[in-house]
Amino acid sequence: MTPTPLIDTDLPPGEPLIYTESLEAGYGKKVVLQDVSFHFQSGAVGLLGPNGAGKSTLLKTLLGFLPPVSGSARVLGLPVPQRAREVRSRIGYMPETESFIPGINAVQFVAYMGSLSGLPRAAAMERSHEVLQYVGIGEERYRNLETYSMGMKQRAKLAQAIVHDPALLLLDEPTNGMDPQGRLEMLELVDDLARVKGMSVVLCSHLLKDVESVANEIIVLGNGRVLYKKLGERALTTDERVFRVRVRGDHLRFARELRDTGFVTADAPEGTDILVSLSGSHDERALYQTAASVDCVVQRLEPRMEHLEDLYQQAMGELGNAHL
Amino acid sequence: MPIYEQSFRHYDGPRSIRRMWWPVAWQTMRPMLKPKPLWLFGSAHLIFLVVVSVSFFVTAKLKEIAPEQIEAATKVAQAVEVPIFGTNLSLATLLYVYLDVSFFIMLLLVLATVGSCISSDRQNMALPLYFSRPLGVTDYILGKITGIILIPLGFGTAAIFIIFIQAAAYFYSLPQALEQIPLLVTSVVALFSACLLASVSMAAFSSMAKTARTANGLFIAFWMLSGTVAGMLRQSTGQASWGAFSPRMAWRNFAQDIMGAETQRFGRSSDFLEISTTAATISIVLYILLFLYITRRNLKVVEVVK
Repeated sequence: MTPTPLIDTDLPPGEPLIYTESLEAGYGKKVVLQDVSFHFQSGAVGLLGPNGAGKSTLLKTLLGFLPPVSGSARVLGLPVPQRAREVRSRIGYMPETESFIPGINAVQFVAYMGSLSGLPRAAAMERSHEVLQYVGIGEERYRNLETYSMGMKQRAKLAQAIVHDPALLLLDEPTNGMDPQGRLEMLELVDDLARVKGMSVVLCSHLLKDVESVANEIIVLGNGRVLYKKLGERALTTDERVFRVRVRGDHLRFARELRDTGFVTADAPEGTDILVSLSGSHDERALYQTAASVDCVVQRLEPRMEHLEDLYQQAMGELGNAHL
Repeated sequence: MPIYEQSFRHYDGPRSIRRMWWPVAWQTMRPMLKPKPLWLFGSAHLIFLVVVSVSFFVTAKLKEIAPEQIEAATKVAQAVEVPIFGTNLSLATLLYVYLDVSFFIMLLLVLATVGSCISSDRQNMALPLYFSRPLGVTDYILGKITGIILIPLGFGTAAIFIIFIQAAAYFYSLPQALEQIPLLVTSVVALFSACLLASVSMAAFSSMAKTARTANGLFIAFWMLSGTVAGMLRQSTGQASWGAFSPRMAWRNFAQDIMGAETQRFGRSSDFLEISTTAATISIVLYILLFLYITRRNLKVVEVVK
């Protein structure tokens, strides 16, 4: 399936999808975002940061909910909040909170949101059925929303965000409250929307794994400031020669054995995984053989993504040092 | 097959961000369209219309077959103040009585159906969903108010027209009927002002509350207490104008004046007529503006998306 460019034709050449320059914004007198500058062309960007970092505030500013105190923001080539109405007609927003309209079923809910996005009534109803099928709750679409589980509500929220086929999708913690299987499916959907369906996605999360699996560009926020950004190129690349290995058994002995055998190793940040760099004639089978030689069983073996955790920890560390 | 392969098409059809309040109005109206409230509200109107229709028919027939007896009966009716259309009950008065009763029923309908119109959106944090669309707060409020108004206004206007057409058919010549057209207009204006008062007040109370129960409680308290307080103020000061403190009293006065109804008969107090039309109109307008202000204030986007 060929990705369909949705907004490129609407934007002047070179105009980023999202542009912010020295942006400061917040709630009333409380300034949350400070000096936020970045340009996002298209694709999937991960907005990463701990709770209270200003991720949701940034999304709300981009939607035109919160007027900037200073600086400027442009979304889809239009200034916000001045042209927020037009911008919102081409944006899909999935809020973090459990937002829904009680007393109506999912089809009515999503169709209603479609109408509110400017779709004619009949088209909104037709697309409502389609997108509910797409997000995986087609069978349950005639049930009232208040009877849905948390995971189903998240899917309904995603459906309302994409019903009008937006050019840009703002997702605020889309996997909140979902079980592991549901979480994977949700991330799969977001990935599909970004890579196959051609929607640009801003994925806001405090979960590294979520961002890692979807985004190819990264912005790390902390205390309302941009601590790290890697945009305009694929930020996360897979290093095929470095593996993350977890074993059942004495992992310290396993690590020692690896070093003795000539592997280059390092502890992964969480301590129980070992990063192993394959060199020369070594391949994955050698890792299994080494583990077996010290009575360990390999539980996990996967190529390491490029240092997202390291980058995140480093960014957070810098933030911590700045406060000391 | 992965779930995301099942269906998704891009949309290249028409889009419009004009009249964004209309979907909100339609959604707000839905509780009123449920069979129970619709049936109750509709049947109240129907009963009134049937009574009026039968009395029109009987009066017209009697006038046809026994004009002398009707003449005598009219004198008796005037003496004992029994309302008989065409004698001591004008079309304006009849329409006013209908609107007065209709206003009360409308308040009950609003109370029973749309107390949650905004409170539910607040409670379920749906407001960020609305405002992430090309929909302003003004569109949202306009949609809510329109949604509350449409059913009572539709029923009321239909009833006014039915009464008018029947009266014209039975008792008026064409020129006489045409002379009554301004009454038709003022009746609709009075009906609209009643609907507007009911809807903006409920929208305001619903925007203040997080549950429909609280909103309904505030609504009842307001409509009951405003009348009581207005009565107390009128009595303690001796000035009838204080009656305008009650939006219902103000509306009654306003409606009677613009329609030219004579309701001091049939046991109704004439005190209301002592409120000047200007004071009544100002009171209605101020109440509407106050309720709109309260609603707008409670829906500040910065606050609701926090």
